[in-house]
Amino acid sequence: MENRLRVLRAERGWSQAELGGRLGVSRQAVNAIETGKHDPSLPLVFKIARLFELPIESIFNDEVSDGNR
Amino acid sequence: METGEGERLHSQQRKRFWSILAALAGVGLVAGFASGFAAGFFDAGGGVGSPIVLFVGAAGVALFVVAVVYGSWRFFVNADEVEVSDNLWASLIGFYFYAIAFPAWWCLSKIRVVGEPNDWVIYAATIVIATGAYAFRKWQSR
Repeated sequence: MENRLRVLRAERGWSQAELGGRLGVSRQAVNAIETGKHDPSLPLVFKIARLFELPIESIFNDEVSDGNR
Repeated sequence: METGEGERLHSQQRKRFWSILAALAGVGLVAGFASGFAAGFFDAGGGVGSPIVLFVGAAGVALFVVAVVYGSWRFFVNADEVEVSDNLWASLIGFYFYAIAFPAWWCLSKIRVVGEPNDWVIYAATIVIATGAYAFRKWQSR
């Protein structure tokens, strides 16, 4: 699933490990989500949205998902 | 939460993750040594009927079973969803390999193309295939 996680993270000057720590996941998990290799679960998606204080649909875009795999 | 707090939390998470793995490896080493010691004694014919050797061997096996069950539970409680997903994929691929390899080998042995299926070869190959699948998933998302 395409997402703006990398951009949002960069805007805050956070490393992948920093974001991973805040979300309770590993740096590798953040990388897998950013690169679209892993579609996060609904609870994690909500956690991400809450952390960035943005609606889910402004972070994730499911319309371009299948062609990427 | 301040910037840097996440890195500290991440470092704590990784430390917990690796300490569980290190503890499992340590217990595996002790259990392997204990059961290997007992098996060696039996093979040499020195341990037959000896309660100490029986106890060491049985304790090694019990330690192995408890450590794998408890360690796996602790591991999955601390693992994130990507880790769980990688483990599930690797286990599934390992299971498919086993589900195909054993009956295929057994059928071939019945028509005398190969010998009887060797449990240890299939077990070891299943572990190797599952570990390879896990390593591939990790390499992909590194």
